[in-house]
Amino acid sequence: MTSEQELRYAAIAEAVTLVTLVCIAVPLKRIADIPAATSILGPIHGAMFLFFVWIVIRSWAEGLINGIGAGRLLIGAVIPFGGFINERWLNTQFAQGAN
Amino acid sequence: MLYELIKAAHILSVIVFLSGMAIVAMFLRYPSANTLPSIQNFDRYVTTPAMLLTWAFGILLGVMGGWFGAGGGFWFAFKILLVLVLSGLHGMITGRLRRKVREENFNADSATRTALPIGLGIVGAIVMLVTTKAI
Repeated sequence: MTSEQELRYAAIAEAVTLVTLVCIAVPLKRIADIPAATSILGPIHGAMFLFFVWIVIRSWAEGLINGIGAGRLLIGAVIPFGGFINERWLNTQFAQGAN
Repeated sequence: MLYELIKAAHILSVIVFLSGMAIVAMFLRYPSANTLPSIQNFDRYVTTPAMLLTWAFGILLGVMGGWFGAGGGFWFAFKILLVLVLSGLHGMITGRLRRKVREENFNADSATRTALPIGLGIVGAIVMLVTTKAI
C-alpha cells in the first residue's frame, strides 16, 4: 500500500467512525438510553482520530500534502461527513500529481 | 492481574516504539542508500505497530484504572498531551524518512537534528509524571 492510499483509507476510516458515533451511538444514548454505545464507539473513534492526525503529520513531512492541505484534512476530520469529502479531494489531488 | 499484564504489554510496546524512533532519528542524521529502505521497512512493520499498541494498551489501562474520569489528575492529562506530541514527532521523522527514500536523497537531514534530544526530553517528562504523579 502506498503512502497516498494509506492517507485516503485513514480519512475514510476516521469519517466512518465519526458518522457512526454521531448518527448511531449518540442517538442510542440520548433516545434509547443505551450509554454503552458511546462507551464503546467513543474510544474507537478517539483512537482512529489520533491515528488520522498522526498520518496527516507524516504525509505533510513526506511532502504528499502542504500545510494548507493538512489544515483542511484536520478541520474536515471533526465535521461529520467531512472526511468523505476530503477523501475525494485527496483522490483528485493525487490523480493530478500522477499526471 | 489482567491490569498488570496489560501494563507489562504497554511498557514493552513503549520500549519497542521508542527504540524504533531513536533508530529513525539516528539514521536521518547519518543516512545511506543501503540502510534507509530497511529502516523504513522496520518502521512500517515494527515501530508504527508498536506505537499503535502503546496507544491501545494505554487507553485500556486508562479505562480499567479509572484514570480518564475523576481518578486521573492533571498529571494524566498532561501525560496524554506529551504522548500526542511524541507521536507527532514520530510522524514527522517517519515522513522525512519516507521522503528521503522516495527522492533517493541520502544527505543528512537537518530538519530532524533536534528530534532525538526533544524526544528524550518528552520521554523524561512522561516518566517523571507517571512515577511521581506529583501534579
